[in-house]
Amino acid sequence: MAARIPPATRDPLVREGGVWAWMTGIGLLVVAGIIQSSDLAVWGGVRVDLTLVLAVSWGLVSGPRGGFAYGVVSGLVADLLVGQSIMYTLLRALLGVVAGLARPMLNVHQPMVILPLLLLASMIQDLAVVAWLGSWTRWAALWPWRIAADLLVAVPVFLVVRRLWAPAGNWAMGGRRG
Amino acid sequence: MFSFLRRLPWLEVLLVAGLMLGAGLTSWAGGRSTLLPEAFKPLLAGATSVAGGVRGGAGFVRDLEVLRTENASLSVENVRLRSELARLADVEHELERLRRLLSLEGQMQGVGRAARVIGRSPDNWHARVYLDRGARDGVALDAIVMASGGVVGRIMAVGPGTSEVSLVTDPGNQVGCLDQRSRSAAILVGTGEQVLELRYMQQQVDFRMGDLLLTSGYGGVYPKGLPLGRVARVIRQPNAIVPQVQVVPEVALDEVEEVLVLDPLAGPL
Repeated sequence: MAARIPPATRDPLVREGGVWAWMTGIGLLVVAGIIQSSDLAVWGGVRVDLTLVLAVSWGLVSGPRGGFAYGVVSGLVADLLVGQSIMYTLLRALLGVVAGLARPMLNVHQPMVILPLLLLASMIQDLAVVAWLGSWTRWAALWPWRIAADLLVAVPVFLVVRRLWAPAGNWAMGGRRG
Repeated sequence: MFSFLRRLPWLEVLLVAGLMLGAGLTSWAGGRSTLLPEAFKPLLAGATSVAGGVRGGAGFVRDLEVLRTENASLSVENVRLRSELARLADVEHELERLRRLLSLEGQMQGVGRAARVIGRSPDNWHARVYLDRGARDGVALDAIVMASGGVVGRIMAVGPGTSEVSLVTDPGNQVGCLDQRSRSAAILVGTGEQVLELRYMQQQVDFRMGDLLLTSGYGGVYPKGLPLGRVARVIRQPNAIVPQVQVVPEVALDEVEEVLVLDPLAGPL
């Protein structure tokens, strides 16, 4: 006999990864993009990449499909703000899928799991962008601080995204349990 | 190994690919606009304003706004006066060398308009800012942007009420320049850092520390004679044909708040 589904998960608005989660998630991305474009996101001379942190967090809680779609939106926000082709869109789509593929291997109930994944994502994104622009000197001077800034906001952002993804606290999402 | 590919929602993928293609085509076709900054202009200006308030550590005082407006108009006046001063110094230099005077008035189409910086590039690698003036205010693509002291950059995207400026330090940004003292010519290239580099120069160039570099006007985008920066370092490698020259912009680009947008040139000079 199949297990009975808790009532909360049947409501399309509050179930895991429901419409509400996606709408709020995309709204969060736009707000993050605006904050990132202001001096509010500059800490100690480096700019925190909030939209990347959101994309990786979302991929980790939603899987490769959700990670891909959210990564694309995150990249579009970054590209529209930077005004630079579709480079971030492509990169974030890839990083979203990678984060999603890591979901079954990681315990998403432990917030610290976002840190190694974000470290990897930040490195991949920065190396790709810097290789494209040829700003190696700047990268060499900035990268430890840039990644440190991202890691600093990673856990709180991940907790917000995780709560957004499963608002009723019904942790039916994949991954190993703690 | 690639089983996740079967689970991808292909309809969504196609939709997204269409969006990406549209964004790419828009950018490629030169119809560059400031879609997101335009849509969220008040939010962007608000966030920047809040950031300014936090940085200054001061609370909001009503009189501050009056002072800001006054300061903005004085800054713009200062920009005009400084660029005029630099222009006159250049003209004087040319007279000393018995060269024909080339008036900047002929190169600049009108004066320009003041604008306020409301945001910056959201990543650490590009050097771009958003302005609160757009096509409605007469800002055009490739218009030159100045601040107190010298050139800030040029307009690379225009929306109805906002525009995006590629700063002279933006990676890949190139400006033809002349040494005010020696008249040596080179191309000033943005590296993404606060220090610019001179490239594409001849073997016998003469650049010295402290020399002021001005726009050469050769490309037809920048008018001639606008101050760009000063030579900060000249490195002569034993095996190199030309020296490595580093330049510091005349304007503190990280701190610029009010700028002057000049009218674009009508054509090549």
